[in-house]
Amino acid sequence: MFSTIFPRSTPLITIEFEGVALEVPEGISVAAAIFGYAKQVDCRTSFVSGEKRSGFCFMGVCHECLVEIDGKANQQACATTVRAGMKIRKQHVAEGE
Amino acid sequence: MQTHWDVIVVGAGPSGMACAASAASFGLNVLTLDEQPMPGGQLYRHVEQQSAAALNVFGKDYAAGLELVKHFRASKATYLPEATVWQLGDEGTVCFSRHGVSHEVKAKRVVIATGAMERPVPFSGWTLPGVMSAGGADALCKSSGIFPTGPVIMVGSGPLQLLVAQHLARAGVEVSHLLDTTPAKALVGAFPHLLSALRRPFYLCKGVGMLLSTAKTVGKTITGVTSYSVGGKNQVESLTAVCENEEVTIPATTVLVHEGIISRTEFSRQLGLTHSWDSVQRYWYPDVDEYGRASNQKVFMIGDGAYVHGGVAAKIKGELAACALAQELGAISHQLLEEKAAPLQAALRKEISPRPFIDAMYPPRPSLYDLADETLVCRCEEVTAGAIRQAIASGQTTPEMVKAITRCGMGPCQGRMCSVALNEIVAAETQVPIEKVNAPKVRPPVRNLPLGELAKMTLLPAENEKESA
Repeated sequence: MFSTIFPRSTPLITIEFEGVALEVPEGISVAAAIFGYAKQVDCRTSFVSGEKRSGFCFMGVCHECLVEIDGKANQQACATTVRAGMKIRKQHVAEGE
Repeated sequence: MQTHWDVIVVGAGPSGMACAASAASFGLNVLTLDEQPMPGGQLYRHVEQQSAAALNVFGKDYAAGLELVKHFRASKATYLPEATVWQLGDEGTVCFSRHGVSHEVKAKRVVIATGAMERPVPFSGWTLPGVMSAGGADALCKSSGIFPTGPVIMVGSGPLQLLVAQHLARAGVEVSHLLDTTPAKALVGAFPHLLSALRRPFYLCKGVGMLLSTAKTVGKTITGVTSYSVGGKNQVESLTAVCENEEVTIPATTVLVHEGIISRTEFSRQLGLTHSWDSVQRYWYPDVDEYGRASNQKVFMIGDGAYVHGGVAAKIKGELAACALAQELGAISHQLLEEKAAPLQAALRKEISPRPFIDAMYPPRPSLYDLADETLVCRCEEVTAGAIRQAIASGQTTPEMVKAITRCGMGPCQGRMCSVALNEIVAAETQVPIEKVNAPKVRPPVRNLPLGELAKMTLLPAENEKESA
């Protein structure tokens, strides 16, 4: 869905996405790590229908890029900056959970 | 941290930065809260961190933001990045969350500088991965240096769509199609505003330049598109557009949508400020005076959140508000306020003179909210246009009532993506003029907040509260 065209020149840090180590430049958003570096098309499933969902607005409005970060659900990937050692998972939460 | 301030500015985009820096220069004690990791807002997002090559992609107007960011950084205003405001109080209280901890602070005046957003317009398939807003994708390009993988299909209408197409072309991303939904009649409506627009010929030249450059770089431009939908299983696979009663289907992997820009009114609605309806661009904007004073005397609204005039105007609006703040809080005399404001007001009038022309050139198309029954309106709770119409038919005649019955607007985005469409559908079905339809109430916290964080929060002493006074 996204390609790195002008990668940040900041030092690389290692994060974990879906249990796999991933090197990304410091300072980018979790959304950029997921879509630009882990090359994912989606990041969660709808808690109503289970359909795949992905980032839409990338400015904190739509709440479509909710993911699980370090065990905490409902984190906005576009509004969170990556940190070394951060563990990110796609979110699959059913309604009421 | 310091809890009491002269002024708290919410948002560090063009207007917020200008207002905070200017208010601080008058000797006011200013706190700026912004949810991003660095100043700039959406327009100048991450402008401090761009390489020369990237600055070239985003253009001169973007690079010009660097000066304002530096000015803001160098000012005496205190700046807290990564601070998400979730409640404003009538008496100047501000609640915000930062790094998992919530705080309550208070100011003599609060300035809301939360900017604008792209108009959310539902269509069949808009929840499929691969469909994004054009401005949103551009924000990701600016903040992280990643760009949508081509071929990209762009659909919709408005100056920002052309600007994003230009950014993509300069970055070497193929835009295979641009499906333009701008109504053909718009030019007729825009014509009477042409003279005013000529006061600022720069914008017209820029607009023509964008049109010419997209004509050159975009694979195929189709104008007069009246509706569109996308299809696919787990991601976008195709886009179908209707144009002059003909249907065109194109294979697609990345679709960027843009249907104009509207003011963000979460906080002005949460505070119960009065608003007016813009009948050309179809959005609510808060009522403010020439300095940005809203209907609550302790609150100012500036920038595109007060009315979509663009980034340069936003900066001037921020400076004007700072002058009024300085006078109200005793830092300058009324005479000095008038002296300082006069050139700013003249600059603002000139800057916004092309706006009626641009707004009339790119009005929302009439069929924007003629949604098929099966189209999802509320993405979070998956409420269809049909379910909304059914609720209306069964007697739920206001957006608030429809929301209560259908859960439309009760998911994580708190109605940000669906309330515009909900209001339009209610207006159409009940045949009540849209400006008479009350949008659902915005209640705090206006951002999702863990209950534990709320419970642990330290509140200001009660004697500061009106109730106990």
